[in-house]
Amino acid sequence: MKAIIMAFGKEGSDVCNRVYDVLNRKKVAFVCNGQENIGGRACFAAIADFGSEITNLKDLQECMKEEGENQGLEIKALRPCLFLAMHRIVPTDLDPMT
Amino acid sequence: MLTIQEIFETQKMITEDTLDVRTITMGISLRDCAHPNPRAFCQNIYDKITTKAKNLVRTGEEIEAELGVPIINKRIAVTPIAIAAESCKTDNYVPMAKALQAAATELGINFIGGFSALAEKGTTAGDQKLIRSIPEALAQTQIVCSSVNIGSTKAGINFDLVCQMGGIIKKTAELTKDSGAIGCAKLVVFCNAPSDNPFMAGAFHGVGESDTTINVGVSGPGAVKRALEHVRGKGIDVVAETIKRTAFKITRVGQLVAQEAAARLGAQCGIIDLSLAPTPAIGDSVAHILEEIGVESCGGAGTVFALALLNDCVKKGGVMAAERVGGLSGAFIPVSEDAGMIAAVKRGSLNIEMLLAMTSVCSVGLDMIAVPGDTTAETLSAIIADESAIGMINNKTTAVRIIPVPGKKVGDLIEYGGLLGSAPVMAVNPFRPNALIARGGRVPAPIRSLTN
Repeated sequence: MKAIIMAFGKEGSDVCNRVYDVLNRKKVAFVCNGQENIGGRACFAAIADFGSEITNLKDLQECMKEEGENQGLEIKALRPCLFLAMHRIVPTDLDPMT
Repeated sequence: MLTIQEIFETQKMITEDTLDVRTITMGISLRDCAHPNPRAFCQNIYDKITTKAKNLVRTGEEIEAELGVPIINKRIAVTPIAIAAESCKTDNYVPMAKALQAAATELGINFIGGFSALAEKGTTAGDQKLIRSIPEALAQTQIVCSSVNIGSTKAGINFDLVCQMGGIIKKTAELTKDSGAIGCAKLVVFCNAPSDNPFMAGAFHGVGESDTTINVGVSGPGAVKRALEHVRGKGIDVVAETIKRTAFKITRVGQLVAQEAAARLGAQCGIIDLSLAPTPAIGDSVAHILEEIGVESCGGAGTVFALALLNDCVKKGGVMAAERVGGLSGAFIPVSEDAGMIAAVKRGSLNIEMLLAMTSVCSVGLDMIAVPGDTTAETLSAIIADESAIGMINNKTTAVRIIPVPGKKVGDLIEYGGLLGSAPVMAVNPFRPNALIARGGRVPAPIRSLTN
């Protein structure tokens, strides 16, 4: 299952490495990732492939939320379809729900 | 494959530019709820609404969490009560409004629309009962919205009803004077009312619609303004293209949400309303878009031109992004709900006459306008007549949501709070239309209605 991982932390802080630690423990393959400041907070985003380890988005969201709380971050797992819908005329089959 | 830049662009639109889904509105038919006993009718409509929409709020919250885009409001629109309740043996439709209120409260939604009458050619007994009940219904409920369609391009204008509505608005203001005449903020008088509008206060579920439908309204004035900041000084064709591309992205959000919500709720996927709907929040203003296009202050020379361009480009960009487009689909200019509009009124650049001109090129009409409390019913009716003439002749929706605030005068500021914002009291032309309003009658359909 592929999902968009978004993590928010204090502006200027190194959200990247902390989220890497979380996701490496889940044996995630990164398709791409990056960090920017958005809305006064540091924002890390990644397209992450969880393989067949995790197949349920709700479970993944709960897991990320808990991991985030442990790290002092807000971590969300999102379906890619919103981003595909906005940036592609014909969305490709990246949505784990389809 | 998505790029990380595209992900950040979307997140910035959501976080910094207040891109959101303004409303998921479930339209529910009450045609099968008719009953001659008013209590039974009220129970029928309560039961149907609470059954069909029982998962509406939860579904909206789930989709919001999965997609990462805020879904601000979950609302319901019903068959115009004047139609659904026509066979009820009662003269008072206030209990029906209370039944709608009770259902809406049970479901946790923030507005329910459809305490409405469609009377563009004449009124039935049911229409009149509803119309006469409006002031009390809006005074005794909090989240029920009402609308009356008084004209259309095909039918002409029911001028008798126009003349009546001025008095209805005055009475509604009087009965809700302790809260800034807020009843009038929940009452819209339409010409060419659409049957699938997801926005309040004018939403109702038209008689040609399915049993349940999901219609979605998106919103992104902030995103459009941000995009235009990157093309300052460029030609007007570049402005047009920028608005179109941004409107495409905004509308795609709505299309996705509508499909998801309809599938999960077992409802028909209805329309996406393309309207750019402002809020009082900073950075969420249609007026500021017009000023970014190059008007010094909204209402100044060039305003109608800029708004026409904006409205047209929003539609062009949005229509490619949606399977079905409907509702109002244009640019909203509600004075109290737009920080830029409020500022323009205070600055003196925006008046009712310019707003009237603006409504000839945008979707909604004279919206959320507070006027002095001593504005007469005749003047209110004549303002409705002006607005409906624009709609009838130009084959577009126009509407009036006007608030004569008892005890208030030009320059006062009425605080409604939340999405209803703050309304500066605006001056109306002091010359009286009494002789016109005294005529009554019905205006025949215009020549352009003969399209067969």
